[in-house]
Amino acid sequence: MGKGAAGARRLAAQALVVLGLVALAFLMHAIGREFDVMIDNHAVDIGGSRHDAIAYGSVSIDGDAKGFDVWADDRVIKKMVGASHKLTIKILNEDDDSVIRTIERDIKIDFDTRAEMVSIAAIASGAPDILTPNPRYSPARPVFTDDNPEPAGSDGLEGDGIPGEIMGEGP
Amino acid sequence: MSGPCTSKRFKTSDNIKHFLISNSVPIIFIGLSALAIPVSGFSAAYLIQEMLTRLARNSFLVLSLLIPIMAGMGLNFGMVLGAMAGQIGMILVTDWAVVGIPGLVLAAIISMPIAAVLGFVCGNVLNRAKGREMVTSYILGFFINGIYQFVVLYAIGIRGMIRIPFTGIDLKIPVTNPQLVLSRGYGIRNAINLTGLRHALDNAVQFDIPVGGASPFTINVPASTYLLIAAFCLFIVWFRRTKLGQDMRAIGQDMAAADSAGIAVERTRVIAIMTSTVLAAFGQIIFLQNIGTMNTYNSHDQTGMFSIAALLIGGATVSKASIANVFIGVSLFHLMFVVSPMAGKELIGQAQLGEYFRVFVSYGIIAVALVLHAWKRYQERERARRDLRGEA
Repeated sequence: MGKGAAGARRLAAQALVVLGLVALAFLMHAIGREFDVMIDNHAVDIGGSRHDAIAYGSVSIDGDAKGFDVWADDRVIKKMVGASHKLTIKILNEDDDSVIRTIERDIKIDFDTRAEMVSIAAIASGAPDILTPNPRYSPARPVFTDDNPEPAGSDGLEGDGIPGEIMGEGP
Repeated sequence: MSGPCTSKRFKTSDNIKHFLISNSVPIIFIGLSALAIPVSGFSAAYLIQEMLTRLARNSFLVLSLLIPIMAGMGLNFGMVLGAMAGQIGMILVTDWAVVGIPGLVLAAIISMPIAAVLGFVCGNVLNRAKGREMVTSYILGFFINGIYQFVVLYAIGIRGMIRIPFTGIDLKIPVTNPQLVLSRGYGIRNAINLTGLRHALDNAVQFDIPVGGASPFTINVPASTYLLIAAFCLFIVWFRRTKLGQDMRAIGQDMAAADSAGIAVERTRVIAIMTSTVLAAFGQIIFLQNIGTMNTYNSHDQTGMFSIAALLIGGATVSKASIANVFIGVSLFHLMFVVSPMAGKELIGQAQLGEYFRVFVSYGIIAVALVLHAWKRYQERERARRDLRGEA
């Protein structure tokens, strides 16, 4: 086999390695991305239907034995790693903590987790759409440009921890 | 006394002298440590735990220095380039909120092309400075550090400071996490909390060893990190036996002879530096995940100096280093790190003086090792000359 063929084979192998690394990078991003998901237990109107909050219950994410308790009108933020998760909601009796009903729901985090919340009320009602807008969501901080300058009086440097001696020691 | 007995006794004393000279640096450090440990008052449990943690944190970085030494390029002060590449990977991964082991793997993948390019540049520069690789790589580290600080301070952020003329396009690497970016919109903050990545590798597989006795204690062993280090050691052993590894060793012994034998000397030297730089990037990622916090503008500064100091303390030279030198050196160097301030405080009343002593010893040891290396080479040449003449 000539040098040309061996060189082409080596190039192909190197290209394969590079593609493999790129694919691995995307895979790591998909499985390792962490989201702050708001889980809300208020009464909500979604798609014209009203869903009442559960009075008291226990929520676990991906079969986590610990889980967390929710009462009506609670709203909690939970960190979730990866896009696909299973929520298990146990509606409990407030008096004796007995389980009244258990609901499991698979959720996929393909929404803006700052702007929308997962509604326990909707899940408990079996609604197809379980996302509700976050009433406290505000848009991203404005980016100042030449056409839209930053208001006078702020240099953006205070308290940001810019090092005084960035370059450090010389040789 | 008969001739052979005299010759044998001379050879034995000569061997002992040779051993002491060859291992003078670790012997000095063992002596200093033996004096400082009792004075410092630290318990055995604390010291063992600290050494295990520091070995896990630093060994990968120091191991990355072995390949350029094998190729005869001396101590690679340019490993700081790899450290910078690793830090850029960590910044991006933190911005994207990728956590745990996937975050570390992603940071490593991102840092690879950056480290490879920097290593390529470094290797080509060193090829033009044959015989002066160490000082050249040292200065190159400062130069690339300047570029790194410019990029991280002005070209990363929500908006860029530099705009391409006539296009309106900002020259920037987009980073949108407000916890990372300065409030002016560009530039990374000095200290970054690596919450999602902290101890990700260390805690993947770990176990506790209970140690009984009068004061029972528990030693935590980050097994996953040590497994990775062991894999790297096996890689080095395997690499030495490959054609590329043998080529590097041949170049390290005699560049001209290697060139005459048909080895692509310059290309192999570049590969050695590129490999070392990429591995240094991985080492810096392992270092930062153990620390849990990244000082954007300072974390990489001391990487090269401390790693090289540790390797030299372990008994390595500019032209010869082994895996054992790495572990011995890291243990002894960081033992001094731990005990010096307290020993200084107990002896003199000020911990800062102990810290000055440690800094003086750390930098001084590099100078001493370099001088000793030159002197040892002279001694070896004299010894070889004596053996050739058959002198008793």
